[in-house]
Amino acid sequence: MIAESPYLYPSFKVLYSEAMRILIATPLYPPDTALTAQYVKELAGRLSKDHVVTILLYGYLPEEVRGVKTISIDKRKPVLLRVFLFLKSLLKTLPQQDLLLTVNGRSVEIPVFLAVHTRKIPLIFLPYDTQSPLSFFGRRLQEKSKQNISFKDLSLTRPEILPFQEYPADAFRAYEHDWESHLATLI
Amino acid sequence: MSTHQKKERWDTYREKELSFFTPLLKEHGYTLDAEQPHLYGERYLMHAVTTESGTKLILLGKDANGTRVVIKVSRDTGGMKEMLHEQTCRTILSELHFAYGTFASPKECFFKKTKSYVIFIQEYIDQESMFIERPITEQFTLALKAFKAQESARATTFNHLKLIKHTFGSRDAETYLTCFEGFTQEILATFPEYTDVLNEIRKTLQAHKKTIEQYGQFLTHTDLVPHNFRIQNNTVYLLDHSSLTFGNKYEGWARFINFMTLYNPELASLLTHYVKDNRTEEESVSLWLMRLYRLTELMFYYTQTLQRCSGDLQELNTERVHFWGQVLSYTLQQKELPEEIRTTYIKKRDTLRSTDEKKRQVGLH
Repeated sequence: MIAESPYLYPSFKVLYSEAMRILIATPLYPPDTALTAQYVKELAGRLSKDHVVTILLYGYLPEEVRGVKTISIDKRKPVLLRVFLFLKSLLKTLPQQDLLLTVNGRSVEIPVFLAVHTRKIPLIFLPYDTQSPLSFFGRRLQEKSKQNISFKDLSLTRPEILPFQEYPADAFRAYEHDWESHLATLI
Repeated sequence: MSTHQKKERWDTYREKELSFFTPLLKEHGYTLDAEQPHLYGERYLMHAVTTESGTKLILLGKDANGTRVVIKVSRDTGGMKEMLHEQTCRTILSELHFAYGTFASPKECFFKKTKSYVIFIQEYIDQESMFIERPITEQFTLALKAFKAQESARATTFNHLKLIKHTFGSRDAETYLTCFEGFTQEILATFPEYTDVLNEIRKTLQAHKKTIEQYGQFLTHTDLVPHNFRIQNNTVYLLDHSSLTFGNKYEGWARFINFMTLYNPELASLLTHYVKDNRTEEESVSLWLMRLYRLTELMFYYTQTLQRCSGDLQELNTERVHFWGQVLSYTLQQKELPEEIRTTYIKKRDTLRSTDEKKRQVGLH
């Protein structure tokens, strides 16, 4: 029901004083194809260059990212059970973390809201999924967030390489630039 | 049963069904075209391997206003079951919130189910040109659009799975491996020369079982090839809903790319490279594994037709097993099929195909 992957080569990072232990809580993660899933995977990969990153997610057999640990709650369980398991994992993992990044989505907003009331931890709320309206809990989390994060005008979706078209070099430059700006607002 | 007997049986069945349904359709305001391309050629040998399948007639006709329609009729138990299954898939697909809008379907014009027969009529989608005749850029764009539409629907939660379980069915890594064993046994009983290559594929599939499972639970059309869809104003209309299932994300891709290895190798190569350039390494592996699985299925499909045919058709289907066997070997080594093998096979195939089948093939893809 809860599957944990080991960190792959993260131990050297904790030697650096600036390295933080970051937990990302997300409702979607690849192989899910939603844009939110792709965003979280990319975010974790980029943050893991300087920090120790763990992802708590709903899913089954998540894609691996070098240096990132994943804890997955099987989505195929009934909704109440999986939200409870997510909360349980969150409470267990939070004491070892320096920062919690939470992506919007009801199934995450509720357990995160409950968890941050019992475990004090800096929180950044990431309302990336514009299709998912914020719940009451999401709005409270947004108020609690250390930073007000906006995704407006950012191209965080990887450009596609297509045949019969030139390599999208400009789009990749804009993508890299936007990711750098985005990370700078987070940490 | 020889080809001749089998064909004779089909001819009798066809005529009997036509004389039963023609007046019935007329009562409901539908008339049949004089030319019925889907009733001839190798049609009598065809049936699906891993999805619902039975005997039915696919007819072309017009309604009372002269609008062209596609008519499916059956009195056969298996055929009726297949048509009802397709109808359920079509309805449920439009109701699934997580799969909503994945495919456009031709408008349903008429549906009638009685104890003894089923009639299903849908609008005829008139396309400007056949898929294969379109420019390669357009073929690539349309194919990619169709695949992206499919994979946007994934049944991952408890509620999703409850919704799809009894309608579409789902295939996990274990199902693929079990089916592969069945295909292998049948192929090797007739063609033991494929023992080594099939053993190698078995090992490969087992070694990557986790990858097959990882990309599971995606909506996939197991027979997404040009004769099962039509294109109008850049919209892909799905004609066959009975082959929809939830399985590996790349099963539909694999079927399509394998098909294009014969009909348009350039497109097959472009799609394979698209996955390499834009998706994770595991996804490329998943596509490769599904291609191996579906090629084995194709060899199995033609192997099991050999007992039911004779003469030129038996020779042709034996050639088909060997052609797809060669594609399988090259795919296993992750190499492209040499053009010479493809052209030699096409030449041979065209000499062995019957006149009726050649006629049926016109405008099919």
